[in-house]
Amino acid sequence: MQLGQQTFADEQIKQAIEEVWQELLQEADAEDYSLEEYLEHYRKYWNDPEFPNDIPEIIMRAVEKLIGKSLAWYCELVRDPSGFTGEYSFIVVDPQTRKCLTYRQFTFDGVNVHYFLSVAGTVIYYEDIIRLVIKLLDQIQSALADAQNAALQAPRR
Amino acid sequence: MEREKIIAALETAFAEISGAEYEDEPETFAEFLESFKKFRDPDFPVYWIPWTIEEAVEALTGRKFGWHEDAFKDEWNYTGEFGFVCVDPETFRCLTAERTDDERCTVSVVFPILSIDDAVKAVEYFLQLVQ
Repeated sequence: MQLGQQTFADEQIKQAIEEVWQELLQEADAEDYSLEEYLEHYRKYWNDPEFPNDIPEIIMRAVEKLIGKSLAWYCELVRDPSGFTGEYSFIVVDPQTRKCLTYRQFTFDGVNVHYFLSVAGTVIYYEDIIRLVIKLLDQIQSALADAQNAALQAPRR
Repeated sequence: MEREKIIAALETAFAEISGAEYEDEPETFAEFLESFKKFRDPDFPVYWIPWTIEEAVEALTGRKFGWHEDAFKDEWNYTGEFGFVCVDPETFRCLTAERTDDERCTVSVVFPILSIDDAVKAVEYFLQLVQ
């Protein structure tokens, strides 16, 4: 049995993002304002240390909602000497197995093995959030499917 | 593992990482950390610190690991704290993942590294983790 990946339409992803946004507003007991409005402030003030950057939380909660699974994650806000670049680097771990779901190995020459530990992307506009959610969904679902297939193919006593 | 052996591994790793930058009198890792503690300015090649820790761990264990490191910064400077994520490339298991008391799971570990003692403590932690 080969386990597949579920694909999500942009509308489904947008709905999950909007639900997460409403949850965050409720949790913060904040006045009702749209994610688009938040993103306008975000583009202006992302280097202000007092600006609450909710982007990682929005992205990961949307991913969790869509795949129906809680995940452990770490997010680096990538900086250069002039400050935050707008890029986020996510490392995601399955809390049950502690497998790193964003880990990929590759080789250019068949000898030296290189790796990526994280899935990264830049967020400036709403569409960038959708794009990054899709990128994470692809990688995480593929890693979860690989792990399940490996478990099914493992010899049983 | 003896402290001297860990310090030797750290110094060797640091010499490799920073080597090309220095010609006459190479700075030691301990000296580099002292300067970092004093200045912590944004132009400092701060990632040499976590890379040195990681190289030393790999040299001491004879194994390669997948690493992610993050140098924490406040609004002005580096804070001297570093976040690390370590993955075993054979099993893809995140070695730094830990279950918390409230049944959640954390992914990274954070160490303040502002002296050679701090660096030794970080290496000791990773050695215990990978063995």
